[in-house]
This record gives sequence, C-alpha cells and structure tokens, in this order.
Amino acid sequence: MSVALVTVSRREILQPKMVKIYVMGREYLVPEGLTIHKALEYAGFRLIRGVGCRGGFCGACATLYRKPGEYKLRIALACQNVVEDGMYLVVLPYTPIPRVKYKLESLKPDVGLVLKLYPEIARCVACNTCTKACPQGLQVMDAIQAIKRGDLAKAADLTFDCIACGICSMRCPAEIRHANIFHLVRRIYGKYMSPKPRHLEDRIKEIEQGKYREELEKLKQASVDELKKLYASRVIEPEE
Amino acid sequence: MINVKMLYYPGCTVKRNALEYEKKTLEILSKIGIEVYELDNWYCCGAFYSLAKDDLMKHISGLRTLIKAQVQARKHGTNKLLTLCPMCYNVLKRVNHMLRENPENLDTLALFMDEEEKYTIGIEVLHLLEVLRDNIDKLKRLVVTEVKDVVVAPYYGCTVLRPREIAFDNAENPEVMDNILRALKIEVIEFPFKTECCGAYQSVFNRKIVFEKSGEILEEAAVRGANIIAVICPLCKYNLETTLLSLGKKLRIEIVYLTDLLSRATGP
Amino acid sequence: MSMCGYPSEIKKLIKYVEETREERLKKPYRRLSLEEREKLLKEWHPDYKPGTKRPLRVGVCKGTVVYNEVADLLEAWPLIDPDQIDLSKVDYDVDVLVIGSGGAGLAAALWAIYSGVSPDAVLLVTKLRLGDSNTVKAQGGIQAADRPEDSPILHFIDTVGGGLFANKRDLVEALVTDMPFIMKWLEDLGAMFDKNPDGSYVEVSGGGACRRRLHCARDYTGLEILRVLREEFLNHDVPYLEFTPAIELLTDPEDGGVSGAVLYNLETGEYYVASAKAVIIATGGAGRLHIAGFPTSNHYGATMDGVVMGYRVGANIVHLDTFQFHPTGVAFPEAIRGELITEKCRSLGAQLVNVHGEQFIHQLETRDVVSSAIIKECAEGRGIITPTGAMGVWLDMPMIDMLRGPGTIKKALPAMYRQFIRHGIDITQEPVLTYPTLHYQNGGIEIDVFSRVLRPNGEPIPRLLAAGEVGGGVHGRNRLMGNSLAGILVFGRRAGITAAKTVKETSTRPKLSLKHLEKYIEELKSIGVPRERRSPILLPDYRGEKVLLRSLRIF
Repeated sequence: MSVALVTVSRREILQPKMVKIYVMGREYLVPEGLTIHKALEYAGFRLIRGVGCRGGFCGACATLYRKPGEYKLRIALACQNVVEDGMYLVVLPYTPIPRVKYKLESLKPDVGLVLKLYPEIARCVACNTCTKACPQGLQVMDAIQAIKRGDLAKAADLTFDCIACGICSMRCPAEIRHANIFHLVRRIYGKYMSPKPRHLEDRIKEIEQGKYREELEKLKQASVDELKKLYASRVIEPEE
Repeated sequence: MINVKMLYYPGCTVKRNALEYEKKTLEILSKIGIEVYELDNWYCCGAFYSLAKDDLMKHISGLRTLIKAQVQARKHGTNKLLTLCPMCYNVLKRVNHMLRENPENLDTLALFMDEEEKYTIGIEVLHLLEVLRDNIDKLKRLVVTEVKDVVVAPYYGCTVLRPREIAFDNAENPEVMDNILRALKIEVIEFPFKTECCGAYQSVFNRKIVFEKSGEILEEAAVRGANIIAVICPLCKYNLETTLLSLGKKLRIEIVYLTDLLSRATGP
Repeated sequence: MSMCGYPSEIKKLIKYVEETREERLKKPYRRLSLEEREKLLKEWHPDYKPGTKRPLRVGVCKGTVVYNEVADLLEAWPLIDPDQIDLSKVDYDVDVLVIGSGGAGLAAALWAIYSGVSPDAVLLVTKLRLGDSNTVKAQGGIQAADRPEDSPILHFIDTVGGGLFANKRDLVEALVTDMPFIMKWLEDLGAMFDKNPDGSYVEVSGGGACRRRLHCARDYTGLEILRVLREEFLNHDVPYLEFTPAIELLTDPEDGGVSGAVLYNLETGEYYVASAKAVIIATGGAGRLHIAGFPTSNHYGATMDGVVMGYRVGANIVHLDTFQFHPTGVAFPEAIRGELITEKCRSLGAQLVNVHGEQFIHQLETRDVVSSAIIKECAEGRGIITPTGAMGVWLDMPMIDMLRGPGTIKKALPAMYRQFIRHGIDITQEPVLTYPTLHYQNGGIEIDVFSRVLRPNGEPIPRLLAAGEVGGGVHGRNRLMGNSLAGILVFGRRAGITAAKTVKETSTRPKLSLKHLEKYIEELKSIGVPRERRSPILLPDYRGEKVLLRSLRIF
C-alpha cells in the first residue's frame, strides 16, 4: 500500500507568514501559528510572570485582548491560544483574589457557610459575564447560582475543570472571588458529600497488621532473575 | 379531575430555611390537582427589585429566571410560574411588569444577554395565595377535621401587596388569606396589623428595629386573642419568631405557615 | 490560526485509520515478551542512543555517566561568587526550609507541621507561583493498590519490572504500602476522585500495571491533588515566598551537613540568606533541559535546580542517564507540540496506529517500550509528517467513545478535549498525531526511605532531605504511569516527618557557609569550564535569536 505523505518545502518551514500583534500596546511582528507565549518569546520577552505550566492547567497566563474595530473583550490562555493578526493583548501578571481562611474539619456542608465566608455571592446579578470570560468554557454563573440555591454538589461538578486563572473575578461586577469559592465548595463536597471509598480502610488495616510484610521482605531480597520470572508470569487483568 | 400544570420557582430562602413550608405547600397543591414542575437549575431572582431607573443590570437576574421559565414552559405546556416566597414573587412580577410597560428596556437587556433567547413577556408570575384563592372550592371539599382550639391572626407582610401594580388584593386590608382560612372553618380574628412591616432585612443590620416592629404585631395579635399568627413569608416568620424568643415566655403565640394550617385541616 | 484543524493532506490520511478501526476493536494486540521489550529498547529508546551522554568530570560522582544536558549543568559555575554573599545577616531563621511548591513540597510542609513543627517555623520558597509545578500537569491518575483483586505485592512487582529491575526496592516498598494511606489522607482533605455511586473508586489500567489501579479525577488528577494541598497549606498560614528560588545550599563546615540556602528574588534581583535545621529539596524535574533535543511536557520551571544544588553539597546521583520520554506528546498542532496526551487515553482503549492504519504495539506496554515503538515506526517511514516537518503516529481517540459509550471522552478527558478543540480538532471524531515527549526525570539525587539525601557511600547528608521528581531510586530506569503522583506524596510526607524529627534532634543552629563550593570551584577550574556556563539555570531562555544577538545589558 502506498500512501502519499505530506511534503513541505524547506522554504515554507523557514519563512512562516508573519502577523502583527500589539503587546501592551507596542507592535511586534511574529510568525503565524505560535502560541501567545511563544510569540512573546520570539519577540524577545523573557517570561517570569504570566507563565506556568504551559499546558493549560495552571491558570498563570490569563490573557485579555481585543481585535481592531471590535468592542468585544476576548480572553485567552497565552500557553494554549495562538496569535491572531492585529490583536491588542496583555498577559495578566497576577489576579488579586485574596482568600478566606477556614478549617475544613470543622465546617458544615451548608450554603450558609459559603455565604458567610464569601458574602459577595449574594451580589450576583446573573449578568453571566463570568461564563463568557472563562477560557475553560465553564458555566461559571450557573455554579455561583447553584451555590446560592444550596446545590453544592452541582457547583462542585460544574467547577471541577476550573484552573483558577482569575479572569472571571476580574470581570465580575459583583466582585465575586470565584476560584477561592470553588476550591472551598469542592473540598466540602469531597469531604462531606461524596460517597466514602469502599476498600481503602480494609487495605490500610491489612497493611498496618503486617499482612504483606513477609512477602515484601522476600521480594526485596530476591534476585533479579527471580523478579523477572515473577514479572513475566503476572496475569494481566482484562479491561472493564 | 383535570390537573393544572404550573412551573415552580422556589428561591434560595425557601430551599435554605423553609423546606417544611415547601413540603406542606406542594402536598396541598397536589391534593387540589395542581402539578408543579420546579425549574431546572434556577437562578436567584435578584432578591430586591431595584428602583434605580438607569440601572437595568439589577434586573438581569429576574429576567434570566423568566427566560428560564419561558424555555421550560414549552416543555411542560404552561406559562404559569408559581412562587412561595413573597420576595421572589415581588421581584419576578415587578420585572415582568416593568418589561411589559417599557419594552425598550427589554431590548437593551437583550443586547447584553446575547447568549439567551429573547423573552416574549409571556410568563405569568403567581403567588401561592392567588392559586389557593382560585381553588377555594376544591380546598373546602378536602376538609376532613375541624382544627380546634386555634385562633388565627392572618399576617400578610408587605411584598405580595405592594406596590399596587403587582398586588392581587387590597393593599390596605387584604382578605385573601382570611377567606381561605374561614373556608376551612378555622377561626380568624380581625387583625389591623396584618400588613404592618415585620422589620424585614433590618434583621441583618439592626435587630432592635425588628424587635420593635415585630413586637407590636405579636402583642396586638395576642391582645386580640389569637394563639397563632399565619404567615406566608420565611423572613416574616423568622423575624416574628426571633422577636418572640427575645420576649421570653410572655406571649403564648405560635408562628405558623398558612399551608401548615391547611394541612392540619385537610389531613395527611 | 486557531481553529483550523488538520491540513487537507493530513486529513486525507485519517481514512486509513478509520478503515481498520472495526477490525482493531475486535482483536486485542499481543503483548511483548521481556526479551522483545529489551530488544526494542536497545534499538530505539533515546537512552541507548550513542553520543548523548558522557561521564561527569567534577563532584562526588566523577565518572558517572549522565545525559550531556545534565553534565552541562553539573559542570557549571555557581550563580554566586561565595565572597560576594554576606552570610552574617540572616534574613530567614527557620526550623524547616522547603524548596519547591509542587505536590512534594506542599506535602512535606504539611507533614512537618502535623509532626510538631510550628507553621511559622517553616519557610517554603518557590520559583514561580505557589503550586506551579509538574504536579498540576499530571493528568492520568495515581496508583494505589486498594481493590481486593489487587495488592501492594502486585504494585511492587509492576513497579520494579517497569523500572527495568533497577529500582531501590526499599523505596518501592514504602511507595506501595504508604499509598492506600495517602489516598485516605486525600479523602480527608476533600479531594474529589472519580467514584462509582457505591463509593468505590473508578480505577483504570495504566501501562505496565497488571491490575486496574489508577485513581483519577477526570484528567485533572494532579491539579485536583495540588489545589487541595495548596488550600490546606494556606489554611495553616505557613510563610512562603513566591518568585524566590533557592540558588545554592549552605553547609555547616563542621559536619558538612546542610544548614540553609541562598534565595534569590527573581523580580528584584535581591538575595536572601535562610538558615534552617532541616532543608527539603522538592524542586521537581528537568524537562526544560530538552534532553536529547526533545520537546517537553513539563512546566516552565522544570530546570533541575535541586539536583544541581544537591550535587554540590555531595549528594549521590542515580539514574540520570535515563529519562522518561512519554510516548504520546502532541505532534500536531505545532503550537502545542510536546504537550502531553495523557496515558489515560490509552487506559480507556485508544490504540496507536501508523500511517497505514496498522496497530504496531499494545497501547498499555510500559512507557519506554511504547515510545521506542513509535520512534521506530517513524524512523522506518511509517509515520506521518506534519507541515513543520515533525513526525508522529496516530492515537485513535474516537475508539474510546465507541468502546465505552458516547460522551466518555468529554466526561473523562475534558482537558484533552479542550486542548485539541482549541485548535479545531475534535478528538471525539478524529485521531490525534503523537510522538514521544520528554516527560520525567527517572533518577535524581539518591534518597533513602526517610527521604534523606545520601552521599555516594550511603551515608545521609545531615539535615538534607528530598522528595518528588528530584529524588532518585524509587522508579528505577522507567517510571510507571500513576507512580509519580504517588511518589511525591509518599516521599513528601516522609520528608516532612523526618524534618520534624531532625528539628527536634538539632539543638543548636548549624553554622552557615559556602565552603562546599571551594573544592567544587577548584575542580571546575581544573577542567576549564567556560565562565559563562552557570547553573542552576532557573528558567529556560526561549527568546528569539535575532533579539539575543542585538541584546544590550545597559539598564
């Protein structure tokens, strides 16, 4: 079977199309197709703030931008989204969202508690700006509303993929400190509301009682050949 | 019996502090043939109706709830939206009214809420009292026991009757609750304080005002021989009860949701 | 362009994957024997490629072979001139200094506190923000043998076999026996793992594991663990400094043990002196060194600082001639090349397929083996070439929904779905292009079961502990999926407990010096290391060449 492979000329690789971006207002020419982070580096910035995991997980690189002729304020993650021609952008170095201290072990899984620690949730006017500002595409307002009506399980589920970039909290007219509230709600759910694991305690007890001690001791002393034999003779459990 | 369908908006306070009110109410409604569908993933109503004419933002919450109701109305085939909490009733009905009177406001809000479908102002916001009033004959037929040793002062609070454009009864001297109770053969007193303010949200800022206002209501009810004050609002109930507690054991009076009394009369 | 998806030339090739899908769904691919695995590794794994490594010429492990990029860091000048640092003024005088704020650092700090150290006697320093680490990028899961069908014994055998039998076995024993307890701890802290309605964990298979043992939190497992630990850490009010890496350890000349560190404010350029009775290195891995020229799945700060500092005070180095190349890095789109496609995709059934639509390896072989197989396919012309000239094979993602029901991908792999849909590729419909990416530092500075850092003679270096990816021994020459999150918490916890004990046993504050650098600097001079080669590098430098050539330092 012969399959045509993609061929690309060397010239194309070396000379990509350039786009114009405005970094905090100043113009730079950068190659098309780069992420915002890589474009900044290409332009000569050495990143310290506004950069973290570079994989869309840590929320360090919240980015705001507009395109010429548009009123719409757009959002991006600098590590995930690629540059667009003409974009006016800033990567936020920091989002001030101080948290409230709490003691998880003495909390009650109750909506009143969230309201007490973060009273601003009562100020939500349901404008939905938060949802529109979420680079993860989460239903942020629905989560706040779920908390207000006491449905913490729903809120925990809706916010699980939150990476705490903080854009929603920078845009919220009610000045809600979303990410911190969501951390709190998920932990309350995890500790008090999710079903308890079934086998864990039994296994911990077995280990504490020394059930595996002797066999592990033998394994630690075994020769590599013996271990290889054991390894090769494992029965691999089928997929579910 | 042909069942009537209604969408139901509970609101935060009912779900948080008045589950018994909700339970008894839904039981009664079911007995008189009303099928209730709680809105999925409902939002806060907005809690207050904002009086600032140039601040439409404050009405978004109410409008969103109405749009949610509009979407779910199609599914259930009803445009009636039932509320229990007078605050929710007040906000939702006023927002509905304001949009009907000022369609340009709806246009402005729709521009902002480009992610939602347009509201066609077709939802009818109802309070529980209206629904009970319209089904008074059915209620009568349900009575199984006489509720004895009970003298009730009906207490309406403010927000189901004010302002005039959303009221379903005379704001100065409402009779709806009186009539419902009487129809169920429950003794009701003449109670001039039935629409006095209980102190409302002053419970958060200045309890003294609540104690003063609610104290007057309680004393007047007691003087007139009532041993129960019937209420329809979780906040009124809370204020009257905390005031009662602050008075020690002086007054032998109980604060009870209207539907609790109805449930006593109509049996389990 | 953000939403463009595959170019048409590549899109055309997808039909070959679709043509064989039905057949592949029915017939499981055979697993390799130990001999076949060994052969594949020797021929194709980057660890066996000649010209990529050299023996060290300085320090306590002279002669030990490591990757060139590692040797370059260890054979480099310190960032500071010892004479310029004023050690008489101590800025932070604490009991426990924790360096690093990933899972290991946070676990260590918490367990030091649980073990009696006062929170305000702890100082945690971190190079970027609190929690910026590889931990947050760990997607697939964490291994703990808790099901009745499973046991710590099987976890042990899987781990040692996966590590090519080079693991320190007492560390593996600690790993497998602590893990059920660690899961309990995470439960108590309110971490949300995927569970069935009856409370049992949803557990899937990891590569090289003989039981379903992988506990996950969608595909944000590391993020969930880290944010819970961070919340708990913040609730304890522990002092911490962000954007302030440690750049050199301090030693007490009397016993050669560690007594603190020189810290550096990345934003102001100011240095600080921290004195401590116990120092815990939890600095993570080294992906940003781009070992053997590979792209990496690691976070921005993964630059091996901890190994550099530890080696200079005499730590033994193990297994730094082997790195983990995760089989499934992103090969296309170019913008996110090297980022991870979690192994959980393969746990859930996605198969690896070449340009002809043929499966060429069982998807759940160990990572080193799968990577070797992919490299082989591409080298022998059965890969797909991307528009930027990168190569890759297909990972057949749509199979997951076919095997486990529609909606599985969006529910179990939301991060993966997002990562690709942002670039116009819908993984519920289309396969993705993948190629190995530099993922994990298998070895590091050697530790014992108490997380104490050891010298080459096996003696612990007084008051120096290490946990997490920086520590070497537990994973042998290849780590199993789900054992890294396990490792950071097991040894982070042990480091915290040992630190508390060390603090109790250390009545007088150890003296501060940079004496250990004297001999090291002599050796650097003797082999003629160029002055501009300095370490730790703290952050990679990706600035454009054009800019660097014209860069003036006048301000």
